[in-house]
Amino acid sequence: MNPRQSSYNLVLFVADSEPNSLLARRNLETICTQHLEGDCNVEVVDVLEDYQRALDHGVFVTPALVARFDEVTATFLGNLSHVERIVAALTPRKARI
Amino acid sequence: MSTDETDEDKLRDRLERAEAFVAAIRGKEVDVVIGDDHLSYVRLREVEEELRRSQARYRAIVEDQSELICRWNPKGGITFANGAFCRFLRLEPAEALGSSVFELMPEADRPSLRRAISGTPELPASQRESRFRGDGEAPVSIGWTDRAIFDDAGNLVELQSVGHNVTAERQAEAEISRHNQELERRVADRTRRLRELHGEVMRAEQRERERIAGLLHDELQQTLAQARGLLEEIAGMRVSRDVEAVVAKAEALVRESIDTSRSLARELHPPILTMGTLAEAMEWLGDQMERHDLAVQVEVSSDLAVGDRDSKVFLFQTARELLFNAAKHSKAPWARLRICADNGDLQLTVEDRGVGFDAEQALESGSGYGLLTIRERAMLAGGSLNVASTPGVGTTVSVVFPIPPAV
Repeated sequence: MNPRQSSYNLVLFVADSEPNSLLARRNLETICTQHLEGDCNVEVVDVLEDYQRALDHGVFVTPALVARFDEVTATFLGNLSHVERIVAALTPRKARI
Repeated sequence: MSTDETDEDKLRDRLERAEAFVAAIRGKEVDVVIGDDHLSYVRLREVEEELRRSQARYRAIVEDQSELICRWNPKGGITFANGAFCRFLRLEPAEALGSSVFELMPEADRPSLRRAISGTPELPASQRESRFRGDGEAPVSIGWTDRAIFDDAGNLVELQSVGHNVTAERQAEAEISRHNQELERRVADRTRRLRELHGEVMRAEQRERERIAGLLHDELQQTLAQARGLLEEIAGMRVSRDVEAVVAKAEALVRESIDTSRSLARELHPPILTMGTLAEAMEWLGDQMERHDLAVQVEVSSDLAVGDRDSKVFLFQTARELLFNAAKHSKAPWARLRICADNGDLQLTVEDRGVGFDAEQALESGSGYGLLTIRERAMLAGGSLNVASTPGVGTTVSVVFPIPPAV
């Protein structure tokens, strides 16, 4: 992932090593490396250590992914297993192209 | 964009978020739910699994119970019934659910069921017992505990009834009751027979006394009187002084024998007992005690009458025994004999101011005072004996028994 300015700023809220949280981490890596060409700035927030940030982002369950791109903010709930749908939601400009 | 469209967009957005939230939870993709100001760490899968296991354990426990268990709503509709309940009432499980507990229970239980519905959080449980009559089968008794169940606000939400078969216990209780009644009947019968026997013994004793008194009077005294007559005849003859002296001595002995015989006859069967009133008989008895250095103050109402002869004899013999005790043992110069009627009972009391004695020991050992015999006879007559004695102060002995009907 590109540590410098990226097209996608992704914040993944997890609950330590709970099963869905682990799955979400793996799915997010797949999404970033295989579909977003690594053009991602990913931050992982463990709600067990800081749940207030989740509330600040309007997130009430984990795992949850808050993605900011093209002046758009999208929230994806769950373990991110629906990779294609998430990718489709994150890359609408590709569809236009 | 118009205000209306903006509001519509906002509403659509909220609905989509809510749907996504619910879908994520339903899809079991969620590990944690975050509250407004705290973290609710909910392991949903494990909670669901634990809940399933808990329900399975509960169901197994309830189903394996031999007790009859059902739950019903406040209108009487059954919401749960275990296997034992269904089998007892011969219902399929599906039939039991939704049936009315008021219809399934005996009609006599309905007031108790309504009382159960009136239970409070402070007093939620009540008991009842049902009697079920099967077709051609012996009745079955079930003991129930009905418990009202309340929510956090104190509202009645459900009732639980747990019953167990108490038929064997009731049968055992009935059997014990029958045995007790039979035992009491036999005891009463035995007591009656003992009293009759006691009466027979007393009458036999009295008859024997009368017979002996009769023999003394009719035979011995007559014989002695004849002997005295012959001696008087000899005394009227010309005889030597030596013969006169011997005859005189013989006359004296015969007179003494006649007196002794008369005295013995009177003691065995005082004529006053047959011919006089109770008061006269007691006065006579008191006078006789003077020969034993005991002055007796007799307090018997002249109009006090005892209906049957046996009771009169019993009173006389008891008073004589007690007065003899006072004369022999109390070292007192006087005693008081009192007979009175009180609350349907006759009470005979002999009181002295003598040396006293250990009454308890005397009654237990039965030694030397005849009190044991008097107590047994009093009890057989339906009465009791009371002895109060203080060494150095005196003794009071009371016999109480029901007044027999006057003739």
